[in-house]
Amino acid sequence: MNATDNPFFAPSSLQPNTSAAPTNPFAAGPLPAVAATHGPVLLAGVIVQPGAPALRAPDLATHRSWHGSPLVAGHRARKHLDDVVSIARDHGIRGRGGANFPLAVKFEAVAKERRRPVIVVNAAEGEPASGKDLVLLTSAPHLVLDGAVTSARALGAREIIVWLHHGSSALVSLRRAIQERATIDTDLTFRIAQAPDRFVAGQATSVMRGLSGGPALPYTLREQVSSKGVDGRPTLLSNAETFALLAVAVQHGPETAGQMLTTVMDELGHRTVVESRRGTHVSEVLRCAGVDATGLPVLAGGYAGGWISADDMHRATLDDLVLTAPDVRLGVALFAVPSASWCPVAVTSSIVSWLASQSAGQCGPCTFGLPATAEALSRLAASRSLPEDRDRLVRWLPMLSGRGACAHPDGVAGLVRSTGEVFAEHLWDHVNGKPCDRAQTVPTWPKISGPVVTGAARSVMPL
Amino acid sequence: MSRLVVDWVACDGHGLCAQAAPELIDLDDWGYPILHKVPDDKSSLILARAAVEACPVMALRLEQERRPVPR
Repeated sequence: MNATDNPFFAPSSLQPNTSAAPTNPFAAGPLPAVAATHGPVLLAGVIVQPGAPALRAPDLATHRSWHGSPLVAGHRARKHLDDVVSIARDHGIRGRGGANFPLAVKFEAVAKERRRPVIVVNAAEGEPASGKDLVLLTSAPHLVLDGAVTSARALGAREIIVWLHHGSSALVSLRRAIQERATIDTDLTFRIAQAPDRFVAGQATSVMRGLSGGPALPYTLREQVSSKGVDGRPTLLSNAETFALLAVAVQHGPETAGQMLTTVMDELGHRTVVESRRGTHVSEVLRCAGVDATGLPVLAGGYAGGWISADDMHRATLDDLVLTAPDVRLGVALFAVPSASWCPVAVTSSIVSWLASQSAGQCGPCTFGLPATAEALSRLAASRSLPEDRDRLVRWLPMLSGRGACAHPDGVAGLVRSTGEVFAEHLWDHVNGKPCDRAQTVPTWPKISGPVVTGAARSVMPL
Repeated sequence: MSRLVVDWVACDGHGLCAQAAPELIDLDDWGYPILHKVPDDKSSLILARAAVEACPVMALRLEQERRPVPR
């Protein structure tokens, strides 16, 4: 349509800037684009054209024609437990929610318990930029459910709970998928539970607490989730992609081992979910998403991940744990490529301010340490740091690691540390108060768009 | 081997543990405990127990050994 034909047409300069982050990235917005570096399995049939948004979910019959069936119901299903565990082990399936815990070990821990376990599919993708679980739940919900069904039958569970963010746009397709199974998987009940819109709501102990009638906040683990999880019952809790990987492993066989999803975000905040394989070069994943990161640092592993320098990028491959030296981890497999015009200290500062605001406020080092760190960083970003700020940050970073009910502060410490390693020279300019000529705003990335917050949201204890 | 374990959700930063066992426990800038020494002999074990006793919210405990925790 010609613009002048539209009575509601307004010159773009007068339109509100809709490219800024939506208020709730878990609830709204278009599906991320999809692509694959190798022949797709998880996203088979979902990718119409590389770079185009994912297709919506196929019906159950179509899904079956692509992916076959999960473990069948019946008293013999439990006899297959050992097979399922060895498939999980042979395929090297690890939790894809960020912690990379081996699925086979979880299975064995739950199988040891005498009481009937519960299966929990964790699809509360707290990482604002990550979109892989959203794409899976929206485009391939049956694959995720197949993995959960196989797990349930092998372990003798009768209940499957899917935990996802309140108002998630995957709700419709997930509900429809569950309805389609109502007359087929009659041995199982499916339940959708909705998590609050909070970064730490997807953390394993938060999920347990939320599903047992408490607030969805982390707690100090005394009993293992595998033995005392939801309502005190043995629980197999894993990320949505992990269940999809199990389904693929059981239903397709060994040639699919090592498939994985990553999310790539460009400087405009556009996201592409890329299916690739373990060992694939990160630069190839980025190329596949249509993002050219030549000469640019990349934020890897999520907002609470770490920076990889432009020089290290050509060496970085998708590996289970460590992407590159010294210790940038795969985490939730997010790769965010900033604009060369942004000040990396300002980007980090914006991210840390947001992460500080997401603290559950339960553990002291996180409640007080994160806002203090965020404040020092925002002064640093503005090249107006106090003389003691650098020393404080050096002292505080170790104080944020391993001192909480969850690893939220550890992630912040890792991000700040990697900033120091990758942008040492630039960071020293800021420490020395040299004015920075790069942009101090991150206009396009979710949750952190807008000018750098000066001073954190929370007041801190006087030092 | 025993070790001190903090329940970070319960800990309110009263700091009494560090007073009871300064050889084992420091406080960070916000008043929360830093466990800088593992109680590895008889006298430090006595101190560790005193620190556990001193905590008004029972956020500190002495644990026998560490086991791997799948989540």
